[in-house]
Amino acid sequence: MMLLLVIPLYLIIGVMVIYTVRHYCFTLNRLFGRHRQPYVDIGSAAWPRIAVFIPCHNEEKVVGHMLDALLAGDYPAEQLAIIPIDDRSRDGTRGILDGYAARFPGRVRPFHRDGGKPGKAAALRDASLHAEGADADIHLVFDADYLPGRGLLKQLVAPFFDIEVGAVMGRVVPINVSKSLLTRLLDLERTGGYQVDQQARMNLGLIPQYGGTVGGVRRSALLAVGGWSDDTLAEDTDMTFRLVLAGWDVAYQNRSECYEEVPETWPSRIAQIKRWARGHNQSLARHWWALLKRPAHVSRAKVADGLLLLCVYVVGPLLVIGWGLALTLYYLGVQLAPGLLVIFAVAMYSTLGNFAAFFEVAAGARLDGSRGRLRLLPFLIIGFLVSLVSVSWATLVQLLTSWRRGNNHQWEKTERFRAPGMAVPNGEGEP
Amino acid sequence: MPGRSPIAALEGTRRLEALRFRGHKGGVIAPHRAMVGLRWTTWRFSTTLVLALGGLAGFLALLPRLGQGWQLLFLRARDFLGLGVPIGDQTLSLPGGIRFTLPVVATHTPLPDARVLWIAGIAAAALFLLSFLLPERFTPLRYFLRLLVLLQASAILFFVVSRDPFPYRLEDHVFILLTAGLVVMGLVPLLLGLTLHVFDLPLWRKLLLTVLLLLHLAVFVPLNVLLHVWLVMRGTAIVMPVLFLLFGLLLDVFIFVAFYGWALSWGGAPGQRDAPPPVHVR
Repeated sequence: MMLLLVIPLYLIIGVMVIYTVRHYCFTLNRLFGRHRQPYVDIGSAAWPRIAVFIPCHNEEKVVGHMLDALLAGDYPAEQLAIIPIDDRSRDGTRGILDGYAARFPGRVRPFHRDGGKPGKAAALRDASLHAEGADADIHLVFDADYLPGRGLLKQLVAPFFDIEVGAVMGRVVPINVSKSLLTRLLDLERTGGYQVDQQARMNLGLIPQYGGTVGGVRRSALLAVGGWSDDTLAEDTDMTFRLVLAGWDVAYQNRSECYEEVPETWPSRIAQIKRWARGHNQSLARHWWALLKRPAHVSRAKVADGLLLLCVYVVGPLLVIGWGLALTLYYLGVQLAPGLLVIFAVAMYSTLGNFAAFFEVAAGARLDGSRGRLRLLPFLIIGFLVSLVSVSWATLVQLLTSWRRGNNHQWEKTERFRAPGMAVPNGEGEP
Repeated sequence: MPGRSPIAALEGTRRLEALRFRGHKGGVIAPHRAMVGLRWTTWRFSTTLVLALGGLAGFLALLPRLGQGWQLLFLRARDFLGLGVPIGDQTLSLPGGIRFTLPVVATHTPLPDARVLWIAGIAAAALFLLSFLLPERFTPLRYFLRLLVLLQASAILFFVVSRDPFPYRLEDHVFILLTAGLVVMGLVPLLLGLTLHVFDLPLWRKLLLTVLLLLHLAVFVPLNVLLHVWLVMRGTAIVMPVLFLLFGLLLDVFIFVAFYGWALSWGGAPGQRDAPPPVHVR
């Protein structure tokens, strides 16, 4: 009977130890490792034709800023098609897009959808196949609240000069950092995730994740793997793994930064992370076995990293189960090992394990040169707590309802906080 | 270059490398934040090693005095708090002949009666309700309160349902938390070596943080345990699970995190940078 509790607990602890070691390895690699920043310095080249897709659903507050930023970029205008995808917006988005199309004919080419499956993935799939200008060599994707800098498109396209690269991902930087404690905490989380985690993956030749925005895919690779999946909440993770399994590389460009608006309220954040969790878990269910079988061109290190990446949203529920088991064993008075040894092990595990994620975030913020933010480091625990509960709940609901099939797709997007017509924040003065 | 010695060639390469970062009027061109990293130099390696191992050795050497200090603190605090419990000591040995004593609270563990269970139940229910009344911006606090209530409810359930005696004595609780605190303190120099001393902070600041953190924990750990003792003596063993799981070792770890974040917010050593980028290291 006890073994039924003890063995799963040991297994869960084993998983947590693996993730802890991974955190330390990534952080130390980012600090001391040899960086891979392919093609970031390329300023002039025979730039390929690109299409920039901007999926929109009720984005009147932000999409104008996004289009202005893209139009101000230095990518050769004759090689660039900007394709905002208006998917049945009920606000003023359609009018805004048509206005830009009239002012910039041939450069801004809106793709309006009034039917078919709703949602970002389905909108991207449709537009990438049927939109005018979608026959470009490279497809970049941005969410409507992003604010790309002048040279960003060239930076994101440059890695595609390597013919093995199927997808590229840039760095996401929050612009509304100083709005609340939540936005400050999300800024720290993003720092750890991009400055350390993604760059370390890139350095180590593992699997940087294409994140669905501030990035793009090679059209030939996209077609080779069957286009965007329109039945997933995380078309980005899905695309990452389909490309990797098909033998393409995913490149991460830490230098290619783009501002985004992070959620400013907890309900918005909770909805966002629940959506990410469900989408990511879908990808786990779809790709874990194919990855585990290890196609000839995928290294063992990539398989290990890919599995850990796919399982990242399962860790939350596992941790909750682990706490439940530990609590039960606590009440039963079960000692897993001789007294002093178990105290030593638990204290070590608790210290090193809990600290690993903080180390990653702190290293990223220190490298960013924004040291003042680091005083908030212990407050990250409150973000972790909310994420843990939200992700666990989303996963549980997903498990319980996974038997239900059918077309229940809908737009699930993060609430926007920018007021329409508001001046675009420039990021200055942010901590 | 033909005819040049390898040393001269190396020096030339270094000068050329330095030129890449020389800006207007001899200033330094800082690399973009995406490209900065740390260089693993002999100085960095040796100072990290000395601070980490020296810190651990210093801590181990001071363990007997620390144990004596905690013993004294427990005796004084018992009188101050009016606990009225006998304080004993327990001698522990570590490899290397290090022996030290830890204070022991040698008393019975008060168990909850029906009245206490009712009070605890009502308090837990009130907290649970409160978690729904808090405004949305306090969402993390709402979640924390519910976690607290969940753990407290499990304790109430245990004392209501279980026919087995509660498996922990206050004496065990104190011993475990003091020992775990010592383990965390022992890890401080090593973990700081791995995660803080590698950054370009002045040596004296690295040393200062190690000392400050150890001093803080040396005071906090026994005081926190004494607070637990006081609460258990007043509120019975029904509060022990919550105290143990949420307000014991976890607090020690978060003190470490807070000090660490504070230290990394300090400026770098004069004349040193967290760059140059490893990508250019040959």
